[in-house]
Amino acid sequence: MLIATAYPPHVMQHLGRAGMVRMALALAAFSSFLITGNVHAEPSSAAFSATELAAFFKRHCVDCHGPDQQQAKVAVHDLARPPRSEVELALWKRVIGQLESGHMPPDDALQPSPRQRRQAIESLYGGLASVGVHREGNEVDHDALFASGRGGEADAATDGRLWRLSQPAYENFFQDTFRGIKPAMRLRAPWEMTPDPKTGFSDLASAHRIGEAELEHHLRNIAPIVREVVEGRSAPDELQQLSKAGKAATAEQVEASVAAVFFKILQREPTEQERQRYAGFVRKNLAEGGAKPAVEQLLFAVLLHPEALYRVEAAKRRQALTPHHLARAIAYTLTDQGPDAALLEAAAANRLDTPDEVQAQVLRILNDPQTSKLRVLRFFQEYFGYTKAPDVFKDAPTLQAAQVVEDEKYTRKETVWAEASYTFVRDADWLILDVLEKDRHVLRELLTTSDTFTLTKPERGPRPLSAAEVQRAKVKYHTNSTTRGFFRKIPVELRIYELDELAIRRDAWAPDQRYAMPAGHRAGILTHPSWLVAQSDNFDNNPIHRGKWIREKLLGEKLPEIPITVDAKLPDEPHHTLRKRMRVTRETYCWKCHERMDPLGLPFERYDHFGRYRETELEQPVDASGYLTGTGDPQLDGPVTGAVELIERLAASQRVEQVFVRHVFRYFVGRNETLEDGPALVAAHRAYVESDGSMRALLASILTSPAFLERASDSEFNEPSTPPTKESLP
Amino acid sequence: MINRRDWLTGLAAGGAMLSPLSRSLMAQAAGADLPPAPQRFVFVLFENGLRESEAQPVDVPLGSDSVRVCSLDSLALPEKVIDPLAPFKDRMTLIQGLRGTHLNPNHGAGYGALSGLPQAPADKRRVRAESIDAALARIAPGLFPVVVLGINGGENETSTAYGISAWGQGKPIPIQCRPELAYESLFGSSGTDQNDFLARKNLLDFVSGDLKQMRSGLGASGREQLDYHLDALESLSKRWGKLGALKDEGELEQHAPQPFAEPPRSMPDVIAAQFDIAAAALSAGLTNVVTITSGLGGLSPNYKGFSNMGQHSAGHGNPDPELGVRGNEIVRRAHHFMAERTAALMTQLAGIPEGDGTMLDNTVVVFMSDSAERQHSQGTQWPIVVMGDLGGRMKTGQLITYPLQARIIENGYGETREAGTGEPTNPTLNRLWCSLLHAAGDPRENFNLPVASLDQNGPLAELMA
Repeated sequence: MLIATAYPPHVMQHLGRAGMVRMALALAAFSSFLITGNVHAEPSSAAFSATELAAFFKRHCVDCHGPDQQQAKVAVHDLARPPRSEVELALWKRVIGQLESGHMPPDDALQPSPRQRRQAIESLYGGLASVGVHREGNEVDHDALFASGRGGEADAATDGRLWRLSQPAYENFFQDTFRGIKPAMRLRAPWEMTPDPKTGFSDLASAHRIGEAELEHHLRNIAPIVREVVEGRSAPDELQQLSKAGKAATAEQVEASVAAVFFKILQREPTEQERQRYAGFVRKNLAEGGAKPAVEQLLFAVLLHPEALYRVEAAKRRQALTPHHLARAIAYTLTDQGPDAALLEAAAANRLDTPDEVQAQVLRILNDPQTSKLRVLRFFQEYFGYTKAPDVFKDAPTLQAAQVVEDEKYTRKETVWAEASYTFVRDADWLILDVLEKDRHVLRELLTTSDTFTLTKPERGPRPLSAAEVQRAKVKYHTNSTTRGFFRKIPVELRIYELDELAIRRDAWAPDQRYAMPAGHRAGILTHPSWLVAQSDNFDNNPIHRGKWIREKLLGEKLPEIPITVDAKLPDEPHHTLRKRMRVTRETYCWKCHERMDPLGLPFERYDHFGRYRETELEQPVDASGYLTGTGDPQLDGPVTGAVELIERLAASQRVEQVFVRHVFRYFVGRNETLEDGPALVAAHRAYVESDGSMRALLASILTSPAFLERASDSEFNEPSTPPTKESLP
Repeated sequence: MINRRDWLTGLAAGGAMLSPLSRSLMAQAAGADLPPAPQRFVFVLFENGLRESEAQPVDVPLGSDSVRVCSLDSLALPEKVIDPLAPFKDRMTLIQGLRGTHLNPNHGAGYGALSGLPQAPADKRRVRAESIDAALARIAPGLFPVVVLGINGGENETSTAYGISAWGQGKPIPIQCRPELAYESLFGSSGTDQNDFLARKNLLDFVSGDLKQMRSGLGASGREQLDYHLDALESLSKRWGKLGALKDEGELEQHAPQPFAEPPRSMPDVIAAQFDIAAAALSAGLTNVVTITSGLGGLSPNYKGFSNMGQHSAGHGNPDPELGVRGNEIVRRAHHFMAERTAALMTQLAGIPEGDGTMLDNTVVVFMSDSAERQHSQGTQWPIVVMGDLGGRMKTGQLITYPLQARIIENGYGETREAGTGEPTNPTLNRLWCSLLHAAGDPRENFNLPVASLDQNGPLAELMA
């Protein structure tokens, strides 16, 4: 059985088209697809031609998956053409997965050489690209991206695109634009931040759409704001004059109103075309309904303008972003806010024309202590995935049996644990912010420090960290010593961090201070309770997910999804350790994939699934051994005695650093990297290394690459925006 | 402008948006067959719990060692809360003993009540799954797929709240807490000649121009996003076009409740207004799914109009010095009033012919607390009142009791009542939601609870016909 995946419409269009002419498409046509594929196709000498691919299938696959025999109901003899339907697309992806994981051809069959296998995989990816299905996540070959000698000019622009404002960006937009208007202060965005299961990131440009429900919600948000602006005194003068003049308004008054509303809401003047369209709209409404509806409709219209909802980054063929849109891109990439006055001024004065000028602005914003760090923090939250800790429900019987929240009544245990899991997340947030502030060896520090913050969460519930809160807490705890040291019981968090003595030395605690956990017990975020709990199940650790995380997020590898035929279940043997129960994954069929995960996850058996360090499990010494294999790097491969050793080895690896850079690129550019981005990634990695691991330097490099500065489309487009003039700035 | 004749033509094509009443009158006049009537769902949720004793027929012991089903025919409904629903006893199933411990309903289960997703206490405000009202709205969406109305009496600042309904993870459905705003969005602003629906339609048609212009500057996925956005604008524009036409035609006015001279503010006024709006929206055929919530998923109402003692004191049963009653009596009065308004809504629907019967015959009403059976509930037992059978797909006129340990408890001020604890193996609330989906013709075996340790799969056999 195949898993039918829903592909985006542009893919289906391709397929539809391909379907219509499929009879005419023979093997030769496939090779032409490879040659004429669009800008994203990644044909290279590493890929087979269509004929070679067909020969490859014939040699290795067709005996069992061909016209005569279709084992597992799969036939690939027809595969050497572009996919023609959703089902075939799924088959292509499945074949790639089988080849990449080494499951196929089976061990007892004739094996292709590693090079042949790679060539087949590459040409299959090429065929997918020809119908608009691009590589995602780590599917882009790491070595090809960072190949030595690829240091040349970066040349990949990003497609012209719409990027929906994130939830906080949307909310801040209203708060900043309509300061003092109550409905704007309280509204909630029509969407929330939900991580994409494939990338783990919640805010990639192509991932989000605005449909009926979102628009309806948006309209509901803006209606009371419009009402208050129209009725209150905060309306711009031009609107008040228009209201007074009513149907007698002059053309100048109408146009001035349009310009004023554009400037208030979109921070720019209308283009000539927009000025005329909107003025016409106002005049029509004036004639039909009078001043009040006309003013209301104008405000509504501009609040429904695409730039009030998206980063709009369109392009005529290939061009640099215009200064105003570049200013927006910089601001929304680094923060959850629109461009500040200095950035708008730079855009207006054409001081964003060179990479150096852009870099100066990027560093200005990052170095400014007033800049909210939350969007940058969110990258780390989503990259490490530790914020999922409170999602892993631990029930009272489990907490009771493990004696985790001993001080609490049975009925309170779940609540207290849930609050503790939020505290872990918040503590990790603070640790990351602190590492970012120091800005040296950021990744290595995050992977190896044995420090943590603790009890940083001042209120109940899952409120996300806010910038103001960080400031407030620091001031509060330094100026008011009486608020310190209020523990009535030893908080469960301190026990798990092994910082119990803090409870005795109450005065020694402050929320903005690092505390060292016992030497040798912890190494960075991956051993922090927030991550350990996030990567656990309701009743146990999850070594498989932990190993998978390391393979994907640190080593940049791709792991296949769990085969649908597998009923993944460990034996229910409470008297055996998890390591022992996991013997089922060692069956030959499973082990091909599990060998890449389990030995990396099992060293974390040093901790229980509440994140507690332990020496024994079921009264036996913990076996925390594991090993790394198949990375091709002799510095990395080999056995480890435990999680700390494993992490320290990984933290010293150049490849791990590069994979981190790839993820930073994805998050901040808002799309997957492609092979064309290789030079930009090489440069970004170099900037990181040369700055002793500075996140700011890394971001400055990525934000000055063509991927960030330029947009491309395949057609003519008349840029609708003119930058604001300096005089017109607030 | 749509004239009657066009309506009739549209009717024959099965596509006209008309109120059920007009539809049946038109069909009669034209001698035509009607397409099947839509199924409707009304969820009435309130804070602070529906106590087991408040949902238990008089003189029937609460406890039971096994699943027990008995007819309501000769039984009297308990006083205090649900007695106004007595006229609908033949359409009613009372359910005792459903489990919801995984929803942590203490102080309200938030999104968990209607989504059934296991949650830690701090998760209640996070939108993590589709709620049942949204799932049902997807089956037969009305012009407004789901109307969610909140009762946050006395709190003038709150116009929109969140915490009960969701289209899915990360997609909250806002709760409209101000009746005057709810009125406007459904029936248009009153007292002006202007047809604001048509004004909105014109607005959307205008703003699609800005989007269309940038199409050629985008890559493939940008163009998809843009087209999706344009489709949404178009479909909203169509909706407002229809509403505008209905408004011009007087159809909306005919069903709309009296416009408010003053925005309602006290809790009883807001309750009355929101139920009137709900009844009007249903009878005008504007929506098929309505959720009314007074707790907003938590402990929101302040009881102003019932008492001045404040939400917290009332919830804790403190004495009200002005009224000389305990807070729990205040809470009960509020719930009783909601039951009264629910009965009034049902009576209104029962007066509107539809097919061979009335609108009420195609309507299911679920009356329950989102806080299970009390304020500090652990969810071991979740009393529910279900009314309606969706054309005979669900059994009615019965009390279903899942195994329940009952005991007499006394509160701190001398009142005694019977309380119960459902067995851990009892069906979860999720199965009630599965039941509704089965009855609505979109059967799902599991609603948001894919874990192994609870009883969560399939509809409740005792409820299904």
